[in-house]
Formats: sequence, structure tokens, C-alpha cells
Amino acid sequence: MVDRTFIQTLAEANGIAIPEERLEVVLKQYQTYLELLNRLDSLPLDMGAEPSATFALPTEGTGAVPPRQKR
Amino acid sequence: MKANQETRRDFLKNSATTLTGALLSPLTEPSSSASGSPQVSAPPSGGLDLPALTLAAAAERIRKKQLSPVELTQAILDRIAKLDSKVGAFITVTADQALAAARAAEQEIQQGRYRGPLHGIPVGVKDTHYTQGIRTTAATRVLHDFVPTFDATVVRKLKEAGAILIGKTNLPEFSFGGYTPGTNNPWDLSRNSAGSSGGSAAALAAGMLLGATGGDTSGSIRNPASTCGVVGHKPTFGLVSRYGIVPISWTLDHIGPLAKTVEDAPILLRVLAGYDPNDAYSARVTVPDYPRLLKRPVRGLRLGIPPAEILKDFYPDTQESFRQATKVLEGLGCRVQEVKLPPTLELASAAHTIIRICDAAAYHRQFLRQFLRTKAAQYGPGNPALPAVSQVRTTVEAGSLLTAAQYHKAQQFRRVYIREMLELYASFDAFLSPAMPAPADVQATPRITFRSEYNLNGFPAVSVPCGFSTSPAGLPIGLQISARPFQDANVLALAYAYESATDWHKRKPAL
Repeated sequence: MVDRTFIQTLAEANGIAIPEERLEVVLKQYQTYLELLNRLDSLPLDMGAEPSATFALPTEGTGAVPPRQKR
Repeated sequence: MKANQETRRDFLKNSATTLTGALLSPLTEPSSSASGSPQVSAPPSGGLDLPALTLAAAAERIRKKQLSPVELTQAILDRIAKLDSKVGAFITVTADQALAAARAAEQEIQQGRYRGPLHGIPVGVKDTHYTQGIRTTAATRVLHDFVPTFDATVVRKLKEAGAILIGKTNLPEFSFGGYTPGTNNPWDLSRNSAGSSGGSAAALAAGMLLGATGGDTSGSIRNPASTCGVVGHKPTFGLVSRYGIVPISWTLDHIGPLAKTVEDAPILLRVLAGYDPNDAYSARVTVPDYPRLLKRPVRGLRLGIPPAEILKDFYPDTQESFRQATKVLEGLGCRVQEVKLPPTLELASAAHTIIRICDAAAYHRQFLRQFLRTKAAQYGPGNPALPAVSQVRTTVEAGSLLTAAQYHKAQQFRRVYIREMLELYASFDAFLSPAMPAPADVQATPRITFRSEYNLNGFPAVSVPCGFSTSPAGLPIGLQISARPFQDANVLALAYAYESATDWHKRKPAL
């Protein structure tokens, strides 16, 4: 169950102290993130898609010109 | 038709950034008229409204020794002294350092050592940019006493190009959010400048700077540029160094120029862009001569626009300005076509949020950890006049509780999304959309806003003024032009063609 106790336990396990009076607001924020993740889970992804921190610089299809060859 | 195709081919030729592992081209250009010209003595700028000059116009006068950098800098400082109590664009104004730098620039130019079009030009940088010996607060109490010992790469590049640092511009705490507390919109001081680079955009609109930089993680260069009626360019991810910038997200943050006109933006970008080994995501590219690639005909270019069912949820005045802008570009010979958007586009903002808050949580961990609870208690706006309530702290505390698997789920989505966007962008030369859903402090909630979507894919996007609202009256509206990675020169050339065919950029707020 995702509740204030869960948030407090998870935070302490992560080395972060969330004061009692802040647990409710952090809980609500955390739940919005879970909802976003549920939305992402709703879209089946290509099984071969590997996580990428950013796009690889493409040399084709973007108009970027490959480096000149040395003579 | 054949003529159109030839023009399009000419436009696209040699315009893209060149990938390379070789040495980069120099960042400053030698002056062709640096020696032998008359010295700056009695500047013939009497009667000229110096703060109203564009960067390009001022640079031309300085190059010809018709305008003194000291006189220009003093005029900008006078303008700030007169107006910034109303606008609130600056956190720090470095008047003494600016005047000293202007005097040095003037001396160099007089001695024939003109560095290029930023030499002697007053600029501002967002207060996330490290400035050696000058406080860098990111508008948070957490960093209220932080004085960096080195310059951010972009600050160093601006200084090397001879630009005069006037000050540090305002933002929301740690750059979080699209609202800049304390910075009023020069077009209507009762409204906000938007954000997060709100101070930079408002200062330009108010004539308190000739050029500026900002950061864009979710639209934070383009939003305030659109809202304040100036130009904001989010370059391709990796093109401009993020080193020495207080981050939100290492993989979503983009640093780029804000300017009064499209003509000014590539002058700044030419200096800001380039590989930086200190930035883990910096791209090894040769920087094109953006100013030289600006004035090209756009006839025959294929431009995609969003489907009507997406546009209908933008604010009516924004929709109308966007429609008129597409007609202007059609009148210039471009072919405008509605395109079908991939399903991932509607989920892009969700993935963006997860990545953004996880990256941010990792950065903020240094402040949140138990033994630093005293630091955590300091979260809140740097401006003591604002309520000490911090949404940032809540965001990063909650973000700290997500797992690595959840983070990588969003990154996995990002990979698929970028692939689909590259495929989509292969069918046209640039894509148009409104830069913001609505004008300043007006609400509209379309399903896709075309803002953070470009931080997730890293594509270049520029906001250029395209009209004013009618209800409420007189608020700027922006047109966004985006293209494939590293086609920054093309989005700027299209924006310039549009700007040249309209006069929105010539209107100034009454202050």
C-alpha cells in the first residue's frame, strides 16, 4: 500500500529524511509519478528497444554531413 | 515546381552541422576592417536610442567605430536603473565589472583588435550559469551564498568573444516551472514573463540587454521568449555546453540564446556552440557559420503542421496567429501540410517528467541527505519577498523514491519516441506549431503542447514572434519552428524569412 508510512520507509531506506509534516504532500507527488508511469506502461514498446540517455548522433536522415576524409 | 525543388536543394545544402572528430573552427572571426579605421572619439550616437538597438545593429556600429562600448553599456545600465524595479528581470547587476569590461573592449577595438560581433555588446546570463567571483543563486535560498570559482563554458565563451556581462537574470527556484516569480511581463506588468528563463526574455523585451542566454528543460527558453515577444532558440541537444550550469536534468537541459530578433540569435549561437569535453553529452560537431546561413530563400521547403484536432485546444488568439503565420510562409513559397503525429508524442511529456525528476533528484540528493537536513530546510525562493514554500523540494523528495527500473522505463520509451520522430521529420523540412498554448497568464490545455517533447528528443526549436492577442489585448504570441537534429541553421533561416516578411519584432512595449 502506498501511504505515508510507505513513503517514510522508502525515504529512510534511500538515506533521505522527510519530516512528518511533509509526508502527505510528498505522497501526493509520488502518486502523480506512478500515474505517469502507468501511462507509459499502457504503450507496448518494441522488445528490442534499449534505454538511451539521449539520442545517438545520426549521420543519415537528419541532413548532418559525415566528417571529411583525410587526404 | 522544378524551380522550387532547386531552391529547396540549395537551402538544405551545407546547412547542417558537420559531425567531426577533428579540431573545431575558431569561435571568433577576424575583423575585416579592424585596422586603419577611425577611432572612437566623439561617438556619433547622440540622439540614438541605444537600448533599442538590436545586437546586429549595435555590433555593426561598434565594428565601424561609430559606437562606444562604454557608452552603450552605460546606456543599458541606466535603462536597468530606470526600469528594473518595475520589471524585475535581474537578480544581480554587475555594473562595475561591466563598465570595466566595456572600457577594455573599447581600448582593444581602438587598437585594431576587434574580436567579432559580440565585442562590446552588453549581455545577460541566467542565474544558473556559474560566474567566477559573482554569486550564482539559481534563485534558491539553498545557493544564496554560492560564489563559483570558475565560469560556465558559455560564460567563458561570451567573455572570450568580447561580450560585456551586465548581470544575472531571474528565474524560478532552481529553474523549476514555467512561471518566474518577481519578473513582470514588459507588455503587461500585471502579468508574468513565463519561465523559467523569464528574466532574460523580459530584459530583452524591455531593452535592458542586447543578448541573453537561458536554459530549456521543458520549454524554458521558448516559453518566455514567446510570452515576452522576443526570439528564443533551444539548440539541438549537445550543441551548446551545459558545463557549469546548475542543472535540472543532465539529459534534458539545453542552453541557448535569447535575442530581440532572429538576426541576432545566430550571432550568439555561433559563439555559444561547440564541443566541450567537460560536458558528458557534448556533440563533436563543427559549428557552421550561422549568421552567414541565415539569409537564404525558403521557397519550396516542405513544412509540417499539427492536425486541426490538436490545434483546436490552443487559445483562440494563438490558433489564429498560428494560422496567419502559416499563410505568410506559404506566401514565401513554402508548402504547408498537416501531418499525422505518432502515438508516442502524446506520452512524451510523461516520459519527460519521469526522467526530469529522477535526474533532478540525483542532483538534489546532496542537499536532501539526512546529515544535511539543515540544507534541506533552506529550500525556497531566493527572493526573501516571496513565500518560502518550495515545490522544488517536494518534487525532488518524491522523485528520490522512484526506482532505477522506473527511470529506465522512461528512457526506453524515449528511444522509441526519438526513432519515431526522426521518421516523422524525414517527410518534411521543418515542423511548425504554436510556441505556447496561450499568451501570458492565459490558460489553455492542449493534449500536446510541443514544448517538453523537444527536450525529450533534443531536436532544435526556435520561437519567433508571430502576433498579439486580441482578448486580452496586446500580449505577444510565438511561432515555433523545429527540425531534425543539428539543423539549427535551417530553423533559424526559416524564422528569419518569416520575421523579414512581418513586423511583429518591430513593436516595443510601452514602459
